[in-house]
Amino acid sequence: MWEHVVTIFIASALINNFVFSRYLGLCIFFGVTKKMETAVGMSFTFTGVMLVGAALNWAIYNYVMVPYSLGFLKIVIFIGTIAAFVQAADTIMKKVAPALYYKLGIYLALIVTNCIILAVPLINADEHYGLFESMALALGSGAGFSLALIIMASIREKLELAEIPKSFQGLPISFIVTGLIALAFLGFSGMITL
Amino acid sequence: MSNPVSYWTLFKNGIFGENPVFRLALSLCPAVAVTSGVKNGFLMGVAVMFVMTMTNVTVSLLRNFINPKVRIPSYVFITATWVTVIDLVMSAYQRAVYKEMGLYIMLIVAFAIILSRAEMFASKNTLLPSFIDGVGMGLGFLLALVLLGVFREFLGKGTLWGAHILPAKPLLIMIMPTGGFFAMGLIMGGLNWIDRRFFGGTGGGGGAH
Amino acid sequence: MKDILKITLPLVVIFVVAGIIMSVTYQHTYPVRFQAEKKEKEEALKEMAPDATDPIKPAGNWTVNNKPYEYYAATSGRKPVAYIAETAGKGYSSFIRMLVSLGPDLKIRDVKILGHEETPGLGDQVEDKSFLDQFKGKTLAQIVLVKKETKENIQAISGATYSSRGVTNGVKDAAQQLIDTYGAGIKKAAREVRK
Repeated sequence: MWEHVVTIFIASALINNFVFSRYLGLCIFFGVTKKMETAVGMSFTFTGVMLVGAALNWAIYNYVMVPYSLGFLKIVIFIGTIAAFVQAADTIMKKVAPALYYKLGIYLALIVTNCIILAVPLINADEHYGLFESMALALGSGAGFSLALIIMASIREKLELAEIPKSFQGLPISFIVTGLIALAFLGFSGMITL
Repeated sequence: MSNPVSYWTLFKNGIFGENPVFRLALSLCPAVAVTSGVKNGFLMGVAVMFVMTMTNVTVSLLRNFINPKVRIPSYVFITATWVTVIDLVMSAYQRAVYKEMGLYIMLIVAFAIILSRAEMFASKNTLLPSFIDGVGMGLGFLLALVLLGVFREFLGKGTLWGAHILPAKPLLIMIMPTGGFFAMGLIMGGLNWIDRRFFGGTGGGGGAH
Repeated sequence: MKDILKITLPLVVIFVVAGIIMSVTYQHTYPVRFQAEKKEKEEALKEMAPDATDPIKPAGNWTVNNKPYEYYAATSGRKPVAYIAETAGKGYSSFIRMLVSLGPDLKIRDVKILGHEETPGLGDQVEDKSFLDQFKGKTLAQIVLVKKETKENIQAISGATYSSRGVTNGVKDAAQQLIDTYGAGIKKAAREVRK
């Protein structure tokens, strides 16, 4: 059981890294990796929201949706839960920890349109994962996404100084760089089989 | 926005001027994820076009009914409803495709482009312009996905829509996970170059949101 | 108070209407989906034993890689024509699921890949007919993966060795299981005929 949980964690962080092998969360990935500081801020906020969101959705799915066979409503319910949680976190953070809010608040608003945050509960539901497995997937995905953001942000800081053909500046070159990192991540995939 | 000419401009805008993928650089996930073949790209494009048009129409119809304070949750909810509908329909009638890209269909709900059109356009305009904007933007998205699909499938497998054209596989990497990023970067850069060289534009895709 | 009502009432109305739209769609598409899934499975099994005239029914369960799979006996007028097992083998990045069928002579008749998440362009070449056709007519002892040209054994696809091994192992496990289950009975039947 624990072995399985660890496997899920490693697989979701490295092997099936959401950015590099499932191509999810790209909008945010390209949006916040211009600067290291924003990348790190996003990493923390994202992993936190991911964990709570996955736990909430796991509970709702297993204790409400499965017993009443409402599985077909999962898209609506999952996105609703996440949006509600993000809204609540936003309000509470503003009141309780204003300093933290000014640092991380802007990322909270962005998170709702990140596909990964919705993909994780959907995968948990499809694979019938238990609570610990769901948490492992959420944590692994968060760690994997953070890793991707930090790698990319470091490269893009250097990229600023490089001479790139005008037409390829900005996003096009970032895509090609991402492709190269993804190629490196392909090497992880022989490590474990899920 | 009341005569046919401007409707045409509005329609064209979604395809060229503000192409969601290549120009606005929004909703990139599906653009890379499902375009290893033309067919998948096309069907994904159709699904997005449907959701986008329906969401735009619904939001536009309800724009005076929804309180601005709760507009974002309402828009998300409307989008999610239409995504559920297309998800259920595809899972029943397009089994083979659904198996391959089921997860991405569900994730349409989190595509920034749909929410941003609802917020920026449909909530301020009447039914017809919103409908045209939805179709135009959806079509722009569809064309971008098909272009990527053609590029990747042709180079990666030597086929188009599953039909063999080249006897060999010239650039296998194009259909591998990394190939999507390369194709995207190359096409985006190429379009920027064409824009700069022939139309005197500045090139798009400067920043992602 | 009035304000809250003004905000929430439209929201509730939207939720209810959306709920109705979704339920109606679900009710219309669910039976279609259920039928399609059932038909897909039946067709896949039928493909493994086209000469079976009786409907192919599950004969039992077996376990490989800690997951349960079904096996089937395909008959034609009560006489067995093929034994089919669903199986899986560990490839490079996923379990490759497949159907394996054995003829009454206990040689491999056919192998069909049901699903996998191997690397597109490399690992997915195990779906190629030229690879899968190698299994046809082989006995269990011959199912050995080698990396050179071979007529006796199974030749691995270059660039997809792990995926090829996954398929080979899956076939081997399934053939072993089917032989263990049906082999004795067949031998006995053959002996009785000779008498």
